[in-house]
This record gives sequence, C-alpha cells and structure tokens, in this order.
Amino acid sequence: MAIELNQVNYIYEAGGPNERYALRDVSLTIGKGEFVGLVGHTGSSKSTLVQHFNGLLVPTGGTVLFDGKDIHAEGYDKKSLRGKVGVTFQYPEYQLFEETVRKDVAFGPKNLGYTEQEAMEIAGEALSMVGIKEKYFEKSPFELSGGQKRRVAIAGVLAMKPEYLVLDEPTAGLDPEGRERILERIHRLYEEKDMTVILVSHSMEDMARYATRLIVMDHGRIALDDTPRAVFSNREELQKTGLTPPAVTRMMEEIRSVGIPVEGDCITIEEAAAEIRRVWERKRKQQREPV
Amino acid sequence: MIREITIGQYYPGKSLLHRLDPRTKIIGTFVFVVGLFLEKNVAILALSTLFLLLLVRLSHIPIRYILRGLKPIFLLLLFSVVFNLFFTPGTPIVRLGFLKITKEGLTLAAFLTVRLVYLIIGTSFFTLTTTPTRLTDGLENLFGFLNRVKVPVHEIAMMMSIALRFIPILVEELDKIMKAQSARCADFESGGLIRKIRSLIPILVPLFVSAIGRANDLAMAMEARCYRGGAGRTKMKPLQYTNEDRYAFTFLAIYFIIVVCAKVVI
Repeated sequence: MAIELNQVNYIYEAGGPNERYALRDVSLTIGKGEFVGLVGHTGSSKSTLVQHFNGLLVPTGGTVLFDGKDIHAEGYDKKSLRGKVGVTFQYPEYQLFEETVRKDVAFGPKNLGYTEQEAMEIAGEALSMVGIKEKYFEKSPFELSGGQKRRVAIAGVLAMKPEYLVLDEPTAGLDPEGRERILERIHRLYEEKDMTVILVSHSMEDMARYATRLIVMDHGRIALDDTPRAVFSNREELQKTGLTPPAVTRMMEEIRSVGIPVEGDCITIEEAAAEIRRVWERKRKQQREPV
Repeated sequence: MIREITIGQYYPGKSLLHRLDPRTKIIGTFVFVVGLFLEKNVAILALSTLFLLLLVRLSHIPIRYILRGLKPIFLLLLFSVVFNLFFTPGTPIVRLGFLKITKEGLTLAAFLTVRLVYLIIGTSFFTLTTTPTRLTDGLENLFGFLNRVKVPVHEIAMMMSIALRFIPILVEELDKIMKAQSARCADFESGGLIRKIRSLIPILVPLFVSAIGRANDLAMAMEARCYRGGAGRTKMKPLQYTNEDRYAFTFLAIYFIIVVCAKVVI
C-alpha cells in the first residue's frame, strides 16, 4: 500500500518559449501511516510533484504506481484513485462554486457515485471534521471569511474519504489563528482517522511539530529525505537548498556556542524549553551541593 | 492541453521583427492581408507564401510554435472546406451518392484554406513579436486621428492590450480550476450534451469569480498609480522609426507593387 514514483521527469511547456524542467529523476515511496512534510524554496517544483500523486499531471518520463499498479496504464480507474488520494491545491477556496457550503462539499462524493442524500450526510461530517459549524452549512460559500472558505475547500476533498491526504500549502495567506486551526485539524485526522498526510509548507516550525518524515526539494530534485530532526541537523546540506532549520534550533545552537551545554538538536519550542530547564536545574543542583 | 493556446501571445526575442516599430508591423500586416485577398490568383498566393517564409526566417520563432496557433480555427476551417467542396455549383468531378465535388468547388476550397491559414499566420506574427505595451502604443498612435471624431482611441487600445495580457492568466486559472475539480473526481468528458454543459458549471463559476476579482484588483492598482486615461499622458519610451523601419517600408511598398502587377498581368 503506497504511492510510488520511479525516475519521474516532468517538463513544462515542452517546445514553447518557456520550456523548463520541473522534475528530474524523482524516485520516492510514500507508505501508509506517514506524515510527510514537503519543503523547498519557491519554484522548487513541490506543487508539480504533488500533482503527480493523483495523476493530474502525466510524467514526461518515468512511472507513478499506486498500490503497485501503474496509474497511467490503459484502463486504470483514475476516478477511484482520486477518491483515494485527495489533493487540495494552493488557495483551494477558488474552487468553490455551489450555492451552499454543504452542496459544494458534497460535489466530490456525488462524483464518486454516492446518492444525493448520502453525499449531503458525508459533507456534513467532513465539514465538522474541519470545524465548520452547522449554522454555516446552508450559507453561500462566497459569504464566508478567507479561513472558513479554505477549510470548506479542504472539507471538499476530505468528503471523498481519501486514504492519502495531500495538502499544498493549506495555510498560505492565513492569520496565525487560522493557520493553527487548520494544522491542528489535519494533525487530528492523521492521529484519529489514520489518514496518511502529505503536507507542503514553507514553515519549518510546522514541519518540526507535525511531520514524521521530511522531504526537501531543490530545483526539481529531492535533496534530502529523512526525519525532520535528521534533516535539520544536516545544516550544511539544508543551507545549499536555500532553507534554514527552525528558529528554535538555531537559537539552541547559539546558546551552545557560548558555552552552555545544551543539546543542539531541539526542533520544537517544547523540546527546547525542556532542555533548557534540564540544564538549568542541573546547574542549580550543583550550586546547592558544592563538591 | 489548454495551456497550448498561443493566439495573441508574445514570443520573447530580439529579432529584426521584434525590433521593428509596432506601427510598421501594423501597416505591414495590413499590406499583407490586402494583398492576400486582392484576387484569387496563384501568383499572388505564391508571393504571399514567399512573404510568410521571409517572416518566419526573420522572426526566429520555431515554425512548430507558429503552426500551433492554427489549432483553434481547425474546426472552422474544416467546415468551410466541406461546404465549399460539396455545395459549389459547376462541373462535377466525383459523385458520392447525392453529393458531388465540382472542379470549381475544389479550387474554391483550396483557395479558402490557404487564405485563411495565411491570414492567421500572417497576423499572428504581429502579436508574436510585439509586447502588449508596444502593441497598445502602436495602435493608439496609428488610429490617433480618430480622436478628433471623439473616438476614445487610447481607452480602446488599452482595453485590447489588457484583454490580450489576460489570456494567459485566465488560461492558467482555468487549468488550475479544472485540476482542482478533477481532484474532486469531476468528469468533463462522459454523458450527453446537457450533462456536459452542466459539468462546466464547477469550472465557469470559479473562473468568473476570479476574473471579476482580478479585474477589480487591476482597476484598483491602476488607480493607485494615478491612471486617468489617455489625456495628457506621456510615454517613457516614445515610438520612433529607425532606419530598419524605413527599409521595411521600402520593402512593403515594393511588395505591394509586385502584388498589384501580378493581379493586373496574370
């Protein structure tokens, strides 16, 4: 059970004046139960990569397998694939079109063959998963705030009950509270509904907090692929791709460099706080019981 | 797929054609089109062919890219050819049941195809080698005399260039929306006509919403930079004819004389 990319290449506008390589020899396997973070500076082809996962883009070279089957083979059921690999795009609120919020979310399940009534029920469930209250269900999606629209659009993909949830910068352009809310909801889906999550983001802090595996893209190639902790401690390689570890990791390194013996590999604020506390308390103990 | 629309698009380059003054190119396009439709005459078609080949060489644009612009008119072309082929009265050559192909029909269809294709290719050279800004400037300048009869020339030219500029943006937007709806298992291909039209709603509604939003933003941005129409507006890079343009005009004049001669003599 996995999404598997073998030597995938992709060229945009082949033959045109703006022809450019977007992916070069990308090989990658994403198994069930992972929370994969995908990072890279702007233009590193993260979005292009993500669109290969459910067959929206056809690779110029190489193959994409889902559960061992080539998704671009003749007769492959792409509809059911797209139900299993749910992809939300950047600024997904632009896909809203129905008269009411609930109807819009029901669009996916209806396409998958659920009856009107079933689809509406599933839509309600999906909406509560992203924390949209019932009083909004019958409103026009165009009346909602930016953050709410975003969550409705994500619900539109969740309503297909995907096994893999792929989110392309779901928090771009939202205020801190909106970001937090969306990420918390996604993390809950990962923990409680056993969804495999692939999250594209620019925030190293978010990656440190949620991801179990971190993939760093650079100019259409995979530069690093490891646990977040390992990636962030590989400072040199990371910097080559134009990225930096989370601020808190850098802070701990600073503290270490002035001679205080803290561990330098903390990647979240909680870890760093615990580490500082540990060192602090040991020092206090030493002061109290002079040798 | 949809991204391949090339009509009215600029192809970046530094060739002679790119450097020419937009006014020269507008007049050149005009001369070419008039020549092409002057008379049904093989000699004139041959001259037009030579003219186009010259443009291809001068512009450094890959021929494949130019031909791609013909895709959208393919259906139109097919229709007119079929109609002309079968419904022109004259001496029949082939009979297929009640249909017959006449000699006159064949010539007419052939001329029509070549002329339409040449028309599209010839005019697309103008937009392929001219940036939207220069295009607007050129149009505005050439048709400036209409200002005297109260035609808002600047505004019309501005609208045209904005429209052209927005084609790729909207195409990209369309591509994005189609992908987003495909990701929700939308189906644009199967079903009868009514279902197909209905399946366009999830694409068209977001497309219009975003187009109106963009138009609003653009208007705001223009206003923020104190845009207030053509009156009293100066140019950072005023249009100026160079020697290259003078050569081009000489060439155009000679070309036109030859075409007229071809019409009279043959």
